[in-house]
Amino acid sequence: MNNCIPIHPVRHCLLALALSSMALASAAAPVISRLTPPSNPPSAEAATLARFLPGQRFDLQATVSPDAGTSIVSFSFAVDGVRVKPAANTTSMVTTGLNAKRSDGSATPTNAAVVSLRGYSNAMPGMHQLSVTALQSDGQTVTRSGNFEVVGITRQGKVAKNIILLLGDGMGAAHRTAARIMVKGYAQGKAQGRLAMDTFPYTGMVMTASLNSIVTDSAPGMANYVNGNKANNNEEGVFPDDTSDAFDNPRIEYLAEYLHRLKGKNLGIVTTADVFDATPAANAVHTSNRGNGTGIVDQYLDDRALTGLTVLMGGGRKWFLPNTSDKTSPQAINGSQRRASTDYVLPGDIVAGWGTAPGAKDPGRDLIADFTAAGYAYVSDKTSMDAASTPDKLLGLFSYSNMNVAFDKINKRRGNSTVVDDFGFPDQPMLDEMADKAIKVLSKNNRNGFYLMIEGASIDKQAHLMDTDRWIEETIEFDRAVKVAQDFAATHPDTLVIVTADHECAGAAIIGAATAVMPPSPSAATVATYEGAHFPKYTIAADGYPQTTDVPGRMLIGYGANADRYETWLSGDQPTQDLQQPFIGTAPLSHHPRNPTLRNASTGFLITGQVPGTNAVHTATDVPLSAFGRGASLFTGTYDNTEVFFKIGQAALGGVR
Amino acid sequence: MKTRIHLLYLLPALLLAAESLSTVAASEGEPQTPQSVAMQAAAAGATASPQPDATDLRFHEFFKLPIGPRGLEPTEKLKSLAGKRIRMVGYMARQDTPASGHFVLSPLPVSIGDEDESLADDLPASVVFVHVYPPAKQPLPFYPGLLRVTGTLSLGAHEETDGHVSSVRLQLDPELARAMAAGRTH
Repeated sequence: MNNCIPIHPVRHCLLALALSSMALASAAAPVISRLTPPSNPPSAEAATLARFLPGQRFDLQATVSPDAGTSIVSFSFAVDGVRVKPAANTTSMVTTGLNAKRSDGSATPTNAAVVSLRGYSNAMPGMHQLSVTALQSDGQTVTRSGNFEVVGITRQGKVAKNIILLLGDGMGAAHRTAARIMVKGYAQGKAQGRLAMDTFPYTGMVMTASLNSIVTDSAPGMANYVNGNKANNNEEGVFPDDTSDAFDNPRIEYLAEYLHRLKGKNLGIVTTADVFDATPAANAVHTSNRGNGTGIVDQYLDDRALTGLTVLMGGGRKWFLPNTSDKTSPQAINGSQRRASTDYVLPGDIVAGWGTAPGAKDPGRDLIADFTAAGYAYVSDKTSMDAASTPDKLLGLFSYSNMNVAFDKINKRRGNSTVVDDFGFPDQPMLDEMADKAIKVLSKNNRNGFYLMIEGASIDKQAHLMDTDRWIEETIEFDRAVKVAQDFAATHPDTLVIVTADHECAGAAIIGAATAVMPPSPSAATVATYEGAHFPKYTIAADGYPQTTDVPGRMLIGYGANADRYETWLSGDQPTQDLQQPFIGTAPLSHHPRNPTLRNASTGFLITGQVPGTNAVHTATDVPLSAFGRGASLFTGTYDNTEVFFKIGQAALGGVR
Repeated sequence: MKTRIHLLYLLPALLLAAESLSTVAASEGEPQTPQSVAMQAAAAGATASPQPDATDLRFHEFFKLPIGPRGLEPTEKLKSLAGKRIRMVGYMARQDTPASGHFVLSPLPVSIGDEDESLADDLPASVVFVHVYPPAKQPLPFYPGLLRVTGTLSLGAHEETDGHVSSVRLQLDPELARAMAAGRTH
């Protein structure tokens, strides 16, 4: 209340009162700090941010901050000016469990509300206006607008029935080139053979940025390809939100879910990583935290009716073992990594809007038993995988966490190394063997086709560790899986095969070759540049891998995104370290590295890194994409990774001329 | 496997050799680095009169190997040593963001890169979470070579602060913990 001192006539006093209450009213108004799906500002030249295929499901959400002392009473969403009428139980208003800070960094008010409408879809191609309106308890309303686009499908030809997407994690142009030089060799300037991916007739360049950075990680790196929308780093199949629960984020329907729903297609996921890892998970699981292993593996099984999951193979057995620590004494020790804090329970609006399983916090769950009860054959090594013939559904868990890399698996098969034994899983399949099995299972009784994702996961992991020999051989293994997919597509012409990467890793560069002197001196002087590099020559064994990578004049790799490392220019017997140090081997034995230490500190020379930490990092460089088979001609040009989703959609639903 | 067993039998002799080397290096004026102090401490601890009740335990004795189709199965030897003092040799796993209350001892030298990996890691199933008590304010410095540790064995599923669930833990002997931590102050 104002003290209106009647110095002047009453009229002035009333005017002052009116002005001040107007000021109060305009200062106090509810605010909508977030509208999902996110939009570009209207003036941006960039394409619409949120884009969907016709009928692709997604959630609408807004974060509303009402004035102090009030609350949000109701809300509604409208598309193109028409209120969206939600199906029963598919809306919610959440006022607890919100993040302490909003998207702009300011503190979340205590009465803020996150309002959602789940499982929306729109079949009409074109731009659409999206708006949300919220009603505050004192009668004020607030509205915020945005937009999204539905990308139409043109019916113009035969469709792709099967889609195989092979993803070399971290595999940039240099990684592909290095694999070609090693396994095919060059002479007089020409490659003496080509990688399978080199023979794909259509090539594109892909921009890999995430929703919140030019440098992505593997979660949006995969999700962007398979749901057509940008995601924040670490997030899979969801838009960011303001609640702390990692599984309640606004969802975006995945390619697998969309094609299963529309066309009855089945899903296969094959990886050399732990199966909970971001690349495999971002094909089927919706979470804003890629680290929530327990919930991620549970959701694979729980939502198989939505995704059509038929094949799941890789490492990560540790998530599938029951952790009964709370229940039994003495406690069971089976290596389980399950914990309630990384598990999920979904709110009712998601369950109603999407038809998902509700989930449960159950670290004591025996997930392998649940998979087999659901009709999946379970295999635990190469021998059992080969013996399983062609079951209807297949779960393969070949290692505790990530599988061992090709370099170590091949040396085990040759009898040169026991690294694989030391990890406890001596009989792990190669990626091409897993791919072959997955295709056989998926194409059995396959009236409606399938979508299969095959990941060469440790190209990236070994590039992070700057272990040159191991990531190059990972790329060779990956290309052998590419060949399996290509051979299938050659005899099944209604198949589209895409080879791509989620991002580039480590800024790998082929800087030259070593001088011919063996062993190479651990110094920059060893690097023969320009014509001094000649053509490094490796002898390839019958198993398709180099007899050894430590040849005179070997190809040398530098890293543009490197952390400190000690470089010997030689392969290491052990992943990340050589067992020769410090006891076996020649003098001088040195236990006193001058810096915080890394592999080969006693025998290599220090190359100072230019990023903090101990690992090389991802880069923002565009990555090459190769396409083969039906619809492949859609993949030329330079485009955003989200665009790949719409190209696949066109190939699968509308075909190409 | 055969190679590994031979290596471990050579270990005491080699550790003694290493200790004398590092002493020689010190006397020649080479600067003492944190790792050298830790190494000497570890070696000294190892070559001091052995604690009478510490049993040697090797990584390949943890679980029945190769690992079967389901989970890890602890051996009778592992189970019998719960709560008892043991002695182990292994490599400290290199972590991007080391925890301050524990480090991971592994049969192979491995690096756990947290940034793009989180729990999709290259840790073998048979690792020991070595707990430091009393907990240090800072993580112990990283030691790159073979490390010999003694302490009390503890079994069972336990949620660690870094997100892992450990099955096998070792409560590090306090003198050893102090020696390893002291390296950092040099």
